[in-house]
Amino acid sequence: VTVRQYGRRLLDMSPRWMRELEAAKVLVAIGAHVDRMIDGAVAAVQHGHPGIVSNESLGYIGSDRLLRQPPLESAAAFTERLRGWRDVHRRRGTGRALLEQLRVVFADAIPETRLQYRNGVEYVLHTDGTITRGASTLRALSGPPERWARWWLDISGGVLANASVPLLVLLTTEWNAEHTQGRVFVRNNARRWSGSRRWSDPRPWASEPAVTWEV
Amino acid sequence: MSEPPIDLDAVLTPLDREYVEKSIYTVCERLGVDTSQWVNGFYMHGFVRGASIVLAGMSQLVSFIGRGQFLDTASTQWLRLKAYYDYGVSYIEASYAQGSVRLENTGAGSYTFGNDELVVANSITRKSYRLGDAFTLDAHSALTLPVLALEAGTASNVPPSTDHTLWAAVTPLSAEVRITNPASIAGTDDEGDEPLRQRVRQSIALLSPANPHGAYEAAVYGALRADGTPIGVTRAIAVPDGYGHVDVYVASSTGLISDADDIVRLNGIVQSQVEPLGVDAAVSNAAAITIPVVAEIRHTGFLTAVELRTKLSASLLAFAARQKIGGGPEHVLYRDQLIVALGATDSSIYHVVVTSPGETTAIAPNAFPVFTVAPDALTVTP
Repeated sequence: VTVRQYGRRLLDMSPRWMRELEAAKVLVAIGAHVDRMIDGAVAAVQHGHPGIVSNESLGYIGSDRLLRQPPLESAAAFTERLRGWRDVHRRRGTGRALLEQLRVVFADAIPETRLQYRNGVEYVLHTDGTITRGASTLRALSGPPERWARWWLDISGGVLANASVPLLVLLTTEWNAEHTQGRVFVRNNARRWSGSRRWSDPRPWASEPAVTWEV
Repeated sequence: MSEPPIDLDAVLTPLDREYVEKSIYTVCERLGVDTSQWVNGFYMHGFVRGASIVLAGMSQLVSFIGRGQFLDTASTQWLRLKAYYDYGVSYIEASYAQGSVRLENTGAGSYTFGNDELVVANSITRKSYRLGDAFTLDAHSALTLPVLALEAGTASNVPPSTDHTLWAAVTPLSAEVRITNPASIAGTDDEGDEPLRQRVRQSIALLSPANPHGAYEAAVYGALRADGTPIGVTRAIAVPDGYGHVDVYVASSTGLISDADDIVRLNGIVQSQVEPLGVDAAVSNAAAITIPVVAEIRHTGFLTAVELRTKLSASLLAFAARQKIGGGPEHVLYRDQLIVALGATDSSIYHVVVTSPGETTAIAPNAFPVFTVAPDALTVTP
C-alpha cells in the first residue's frame, strides 16, 4: 500500500453494510485520518534530512551535525553544507577548514584574513572568497621556534560587525586543532574582548587590533 | 494539486484521543453527515471513539519517529538507534556491581562451593550477589572472594562495611560463617540520554585525523576497561603547550579517577586513537580544588531542616558534577552560580546568602571545584 491509499481501501475492506450511506462517509472520514497519519510518518522521516520537505528542521539537523547557520547564510546554502557535513568534519583541525568556516560566516563581506603559523606558513582568505597558501615572514619570529604548534589569525583587514564576534570565538575554538595554541585579532570598533589570555604571550604587535582572543 | 507538507511541529507533537475524535466528527459534518442527530449510545459513537483511540496511538508513533530523527528530541531506544546507526556510538549499558566479600568461618566446619554456587544477600540494598569462584572455607579461616550482583545497576552498589549483620547467605550456609564487604561493591546504571547525546556530538571530532577540538574528550568519554565496564570519565579538557605536548585532564562526576590502571588505560586509548604524529599527549587526573561552602538558606518551613539539608547536599553534589575542568572560558567559578543551584534545590527556599566562596574563585586550567560543607556551615532558617 503506497502512501495515501490506505484510507481509500478502508471502504473495500469493510463489510457491505458499512459501505452505504452514513457509515460509508464515516469510514471516509476515518480513512482520511489514517492517510494523514501515514503522511505524518513519511514527513517525520523526511524532516530528518535537510531540504526535503521544508527548512524547518535545519536548526535541529545543524545542532546534530555541529554546524551553525550564520545570520547571513541562506537556507539553501546551509542545506548544502548540512548534506556535506561528514566531509567538512573530516577536515576539522586543518587551516583551510578553519578559513572555510570563516568564509561562511562572512558571506559576501569577507575582509582579507591571514592565518599564519610559527614556521612561516600562511593561508590567506581573500576578499573574493579564494584561499591561498604561501609563506609569511610577518610572524615567523614570534616566540621561540621550538614552540611551533601555534597560529595567529589576523582578521584586521576589514571592520567586522560586533554581532559576528561571539560566533567567531566559537568557530575558531571548535575548528582549532587540539595540540595548537591560536590567537585571533579582529578590528571591529567594539570594546576590547574580555576573553582570557591563555597562553601568556607578549604582545607581538605594537598596535594591537581592538579585539583579541586566544583559543 | 499537491498538498502542503506536514510541518515539523505537527510531526513532533502527538495528537490526543479527544482531538482526533473531534476531528473525525468535523470531517463527517463536512461530508454531509449530521452527527448531532446521533443519540447517545448510537453504535457509530463507539465506532468513532474506537477509531480515534487507534489513530491517537498512530499519532504517538509518528511523533516518536519524528523525534527520533534528531539528537535533541530523540530519547531512550530511539536515541540509542540514532546514536548507533547514524554515528556509530553505542550507549553504555548498566553494569553489574562487582567487588569482593570476606567470608570468615568462626566454627569448626569446612565448606566447599563450586563456581557460582554461593549466593549472598545484603539487607540494605535488598539485592543478591553471586560468588563466582569455587572455594573451600576451612575451619577458623577467612577468605576474600569476588562477587557479582545478580541485577545490573547502581541499586546493587554497597558501600564498604565490616558489619556482618548486613549480609546473609541465600544458599544454605552455616551461621558460623560471617560475611562482610571491607571494600565497596560498585556498578553503574544505564547511560542516560543526555550523556549519550554529548558523546555522540563529541564523536564527530573523531572523523578528522587532524586532531580537532574535542577529539581527546571524545576518546576518553565513555572509555571502557578491558572487562567492558565504564571508566566513568565525565569531564575532560585538553591543554596544549605550543611545543607539541597536550595534557589531557580527566575527572568523573564525583571527582578523581581513583584507579591508576584506569589512567593507564585512558593514556593507551588517547595515544592509539587520537594523538597525531609529532605530538605527545598524556592523560592525568585533574586537580580537585576544595571550596568550603558557608551559606544561609531561608525557607518556608515546608520541609524539616534534616530533609532540606539532605536535598541541599544532593544539589551541591550535582552542581559539583556539572563543573567543567578549568572553570569554563574565564577559568572562574562565580558565586552566583552556586546561589542559583542552592536556590533551585526546593521550591520552599526563598532566599540564599552565600558567604563562602567569594564572588569569584579562580579555577586553574587543570582543576575542578569540589565543595565541602562543615557541620555548622549550612544554616537553614524557616
